[in-house]
Amino acid sequence: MKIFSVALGILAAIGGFVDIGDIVFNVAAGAMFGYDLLWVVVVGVGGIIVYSEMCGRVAAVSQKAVFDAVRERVGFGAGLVTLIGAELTTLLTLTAEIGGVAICLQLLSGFGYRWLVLVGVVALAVVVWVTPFEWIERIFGYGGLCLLVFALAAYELHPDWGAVANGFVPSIETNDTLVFLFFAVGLLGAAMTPYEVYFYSSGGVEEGWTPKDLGVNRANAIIGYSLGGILSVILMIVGGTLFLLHGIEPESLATVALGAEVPLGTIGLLVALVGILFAVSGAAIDTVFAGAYNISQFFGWEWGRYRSNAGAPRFTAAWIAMLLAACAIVLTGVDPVQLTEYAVIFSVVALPLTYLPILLVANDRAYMGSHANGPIANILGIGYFVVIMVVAVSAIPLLIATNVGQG
Amino acid sequence: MLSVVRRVRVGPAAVRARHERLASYRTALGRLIVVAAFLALAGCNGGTVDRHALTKDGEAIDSLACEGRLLAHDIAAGRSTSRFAEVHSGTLRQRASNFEDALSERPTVAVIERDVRALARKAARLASLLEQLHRQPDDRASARRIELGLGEAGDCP
Amino acid sequence: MSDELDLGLAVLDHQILDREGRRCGNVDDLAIEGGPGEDARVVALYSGPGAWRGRGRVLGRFAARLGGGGVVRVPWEEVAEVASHVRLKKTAAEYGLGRGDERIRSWIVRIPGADL
Repeated sequence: MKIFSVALGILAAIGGFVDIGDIVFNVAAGAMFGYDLLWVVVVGVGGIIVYSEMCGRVAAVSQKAVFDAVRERVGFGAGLVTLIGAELTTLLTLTAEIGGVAICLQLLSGFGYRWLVLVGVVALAVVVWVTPFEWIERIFGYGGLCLLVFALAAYELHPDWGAVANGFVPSIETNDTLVFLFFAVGLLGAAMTPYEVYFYSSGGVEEGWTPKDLGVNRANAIIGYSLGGILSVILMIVGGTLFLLHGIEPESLATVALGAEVPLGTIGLLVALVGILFAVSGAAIDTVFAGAYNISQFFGWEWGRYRSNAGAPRFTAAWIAMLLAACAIVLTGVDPVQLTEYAVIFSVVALPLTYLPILLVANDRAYMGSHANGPIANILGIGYFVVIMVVAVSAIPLLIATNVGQG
Repeated sequence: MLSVVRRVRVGPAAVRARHERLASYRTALGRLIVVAAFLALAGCNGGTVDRHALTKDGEAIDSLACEGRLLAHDIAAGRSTSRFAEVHSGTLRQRASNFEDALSERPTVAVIERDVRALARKAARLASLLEQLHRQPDDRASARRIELGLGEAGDCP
Repeated sequence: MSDELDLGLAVLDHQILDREGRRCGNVDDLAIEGGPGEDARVVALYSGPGAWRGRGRVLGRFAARLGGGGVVRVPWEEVAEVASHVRLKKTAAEYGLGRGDERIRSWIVRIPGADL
């Protein structure tokens, strides 16, 4: 029975792993560079596994989520700067997700974009308000599994599988090094989106994880994110096979959906649109919760998706406020796909701010006892910290130098 | 093993435990973010069309044409939905129109001016073809013609 | 509590729980009495926006003003346990903690489905 529920959880994780940032960056990277960036996706998936496992372990041993640990570790002043950075990038991400939801609804229904933004936001708010959380995970996780249609699409596009395999070998052979690096940074940022970690660690505390659940934590992190990473790989293969061939630079979600329509026809198109809709909606919900978790944890308010709406009032008010703010920004007409690129890049810049305190807490024997980082966890943890710092420092210069990946 | 330096100051009314070096790194990083965001936004401007921009815009316009051609092909084969086709072709047409406006009006480097205006006319042709597609998303015969037209107008592989 | 307690690591900035396990703020500041050369004793903990003024420079002062500047003083005798969190002996209401939640709750309760 337990294996069954773990399996269900993993399925939900696959559908829930991919958000608009992953979709945009993986398909665009494929369209630009074929399969040459596949190895970067693997590095990114490794990073999110390491980061999440540490956060999950901290949650299980000390019952603290990310922003509990951030505040305790670096104090109020520095913690507040970190919180502001985290909330701004989370809001930016949420805005992009909501725009993505509206675009999907428009492509399915033909109705006006701005109305669909309102419809989408109201629908999300109602779902979050009314639906028990386990059901939210299931609905959006399983709906997101429709994205597996892209696996079939990739197969039908007949890529050169030898070239695909070659893409997993790390290399930077390209004429356009700066743009290549920009996409590498974007892919890492899309794989290691901070809000996922805030969400994951808060979930661990809510589930009441104890040191007995460390195995569950590790399994969740490794299997869930690996399988989710497969979807990212599939999207890049589709981009690298279809769009590279036709000289198309994907600039919208509609283009991504074309990637399923061309090989599979109308059914492929519809399943793809439904999959993108559920994946992005689910991501929006995770993101808005992450934002509410962070601020509640930092200020010590009652929080939790398992509390009733009135049981954690400021937490509830926080997610409602964030949703409204994101809605307002989307209604100004900003392009969600362009916004996604900025959201991913700025998230990458803010990533070290929350990663470092977690790495420190995970190492602290006073907090973690015998469950503190062992040598392997530290080699990986510190190794990825170096990667994250390099990426964080180079992100904005690359953004400017390549004019957001245009070259 | 990693460890963190902690300094504790005792005052008459309160205790402060602070990780000051980390705190100043954080504040510095925060300021860097603000400056960088400003720079990033400052870098977004219309500007004069130079050779680099001409090349890039040319690629983008060809991309539009090729994508439109793919879409038209699917419509002609009955492999799309009319709502998707209508919305998507509308978006592509809007982008083509934006290029047409920008490239016909913006100041350019004198040497390439003829090429820039020619590119503007190409964008205009694409926009008009895509507009036809947008108006009749169910018309398969017309989609076939538009597919051929887009393929000629853009440099599609 | 005769064991050693690391105030910086185990108390300051930690979550406060009341007797029922309800989260009601963080430890934003501590009051220690006893000057240089004398025995220093922790006398109370503080929680609330007013305590942020001294802790975050400009941002802290701004946040304190935004939060209303109130602060609650809880005598150290009221601390039942310091483990992962700082647990108090009585309920939050008896200390005047968590009032922000009460204020917002009165608004949220008006929306149908608030106890879902």
